[in-house]
Amino acid sequence: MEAKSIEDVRELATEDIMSPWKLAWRRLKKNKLAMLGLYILAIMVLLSVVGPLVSPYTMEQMDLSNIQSPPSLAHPMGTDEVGRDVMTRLFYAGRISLSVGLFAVVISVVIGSVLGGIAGYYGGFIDSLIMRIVDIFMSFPFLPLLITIAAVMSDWKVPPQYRMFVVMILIGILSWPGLARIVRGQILSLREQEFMQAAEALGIRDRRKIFRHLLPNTYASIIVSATLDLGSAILTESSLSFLGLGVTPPTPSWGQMVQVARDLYTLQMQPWLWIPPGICIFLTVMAINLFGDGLRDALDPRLKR
Amino acid sequence: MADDLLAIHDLRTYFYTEDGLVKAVDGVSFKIKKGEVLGVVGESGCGKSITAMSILKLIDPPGKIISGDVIFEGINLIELKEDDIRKIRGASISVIFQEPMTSLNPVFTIGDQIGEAIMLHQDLDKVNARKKAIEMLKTVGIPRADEVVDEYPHELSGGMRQRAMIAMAISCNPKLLIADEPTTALDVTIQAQILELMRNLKNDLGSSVMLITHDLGVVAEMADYVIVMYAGKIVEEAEVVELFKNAKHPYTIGLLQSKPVIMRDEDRLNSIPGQVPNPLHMPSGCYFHPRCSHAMDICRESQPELKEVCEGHKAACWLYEGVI
Ligand SMILES: Nc1ncnc2c1ncn2[C@@H]1O[C@H](COP(=O)(O)OP(=O)(O)O)[C@@H](O)[C@H]1O
Ligand code: SF4
Ligand SMILES: [Mg+2]
Repeated sequence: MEAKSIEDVRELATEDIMSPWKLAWRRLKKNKLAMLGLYILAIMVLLSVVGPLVSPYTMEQMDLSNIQSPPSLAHPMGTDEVGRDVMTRLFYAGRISLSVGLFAVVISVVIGSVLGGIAGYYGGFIDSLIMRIVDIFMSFPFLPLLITIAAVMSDWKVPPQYRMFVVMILIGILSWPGLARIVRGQILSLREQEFMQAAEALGIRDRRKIFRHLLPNTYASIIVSATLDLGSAILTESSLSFLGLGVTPPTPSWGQMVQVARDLYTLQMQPWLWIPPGICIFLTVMAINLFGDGLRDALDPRLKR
Repeated sequence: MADDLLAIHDLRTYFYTEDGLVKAVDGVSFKIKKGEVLGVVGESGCGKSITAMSILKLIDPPGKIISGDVIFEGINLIELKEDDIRKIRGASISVIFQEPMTSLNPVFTIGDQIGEAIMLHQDLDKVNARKKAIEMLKTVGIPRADEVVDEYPHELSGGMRQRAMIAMAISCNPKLLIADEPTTALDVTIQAQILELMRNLKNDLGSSVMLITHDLGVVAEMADYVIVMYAGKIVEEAEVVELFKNAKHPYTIGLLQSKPVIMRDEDRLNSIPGQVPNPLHMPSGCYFHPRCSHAMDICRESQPELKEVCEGHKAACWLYEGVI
């Protein structure tokens, strides 16, 4: 074999080179704040998923003989105005808040990366068109639109469980432009790389070039941006629900549970009703941001190689 | 002619840049016979790569193929629709690029990348494409092929990557292999190995090769016929032995003289005095005249045509006007 030379020696030396993802994970593990974020997030997810299963109460189960009671052994976070267990509702609310955030982000990632990919790959007129749509979305008055839609939904008596989906979709549709910009910028420079010329010389179709060859090269930034977006999506859902425009009772979400604090009496006298969901929102969003920042540092291409 | 695989006639590829018109390829004609290795030499920027990419219509705006015929097996590729020429790319004509570091996609395994062309042009499914990819890796002399197939490009050395590129390029038994400076980015020992590999593969497959390089050493080793390009035009062409023994054009002579013996990776071609002309402001007459020690009045005024100067040997230079 003629290859038995410097090549083979080099092969041995390169054998323990790690994949970029492993490398990033290693860097991430060293970042204490990011790992703290990851742990808090994991605990929140775990509580939301497992909590309702192990709780002796159900979400709607009312105990009219035991309303508005402060925390006790039977109800560690007390009960609300119709005697429902606050802790159980908090677990359920976590499910709702986290999944609204997650689906909103999934929607935004799908729209953002597809449109960003197409804009960056084709450039020219298509790019200008998509980027003007991005501009429009970015300068759109978000809140008035949501208030209007919420009002329309109340008018049409949309059932609460469907309103949740509307909120998800709305947040998703309104938050893709940032991601589209990031993806477009990266594709714009990636498509000039020699490996794309090589792909073209193999006779590969445009669609495959965009979605199989180019987009995977942007996964790192998509993941970072999606993580940080998850935090703001959860926050948006909370604010909307707090204002009564998002998830509505009897479906609980963290923001919707905090809503009771709008009543001065509850605010002062029944802190067990609004402090726990408030802390949940704060901890979750902070954890996501810590983790997202850590992820960004770990995946930063400027630190790579 | 029956034994011509590819015949290019009067190819012109221009770039309409913001600063003005760049005639990257300006009226180039040549042929490649079946099984032949055509060497294309010239300093960087003289239009070698653009000529090669024009064959497969891989020219992106602001570039445009203005005119010319590229007859490949009797079909004019220039007239083909995008969908049809795509079936030729990577199948009957494939390309090896200069930079093995950057011409493989960093997020795909070697096997996936080789398999891509195989699945596309040979109608094999994933499992069989993978088998074929391993087979191709073995063919190009990659040790531990069944492990390398699952590795990412960054896990391989430059030489191994270039072998993988070659495996990808020959995986569909191309009739024409375009190698654009395939060894320029590699160190000398690896260069020799890759050239050796290409020569063996070429003999086994019976493919023709268009070998682009600025290294006359590589041309001497590999090519049957050589064309020398300068500023988008062919200035001299002949069979390899004839060209090296009996170079006519002052530019070719300059290239031959500037070929150093020891420092193989120096910027050797710059030892011709002066610089490649600015493509936006080409000199009048013979494009080479500002750098030519034989320049005459006529050289500044009008452009010499590529003409036969002795049997089977053409040059575009006023010095040889009227010799035949
Ligand atoms: N995308 C482009 N835009 C403008 N000019 C270009 C572009 N690509 C190549 N050119 C011009 O075409 C000429 C030939 O380039 P090329 O074929 O790559 O040279 P080489 O012989 O080094 O391969 C160069 O002078 C360059 O200025
Ligand atoms: S035509 Fe004149 S300037 Fe051009 S190469 Fe020949 S002698 Fe030199
Ligand atoms: Mg080139």
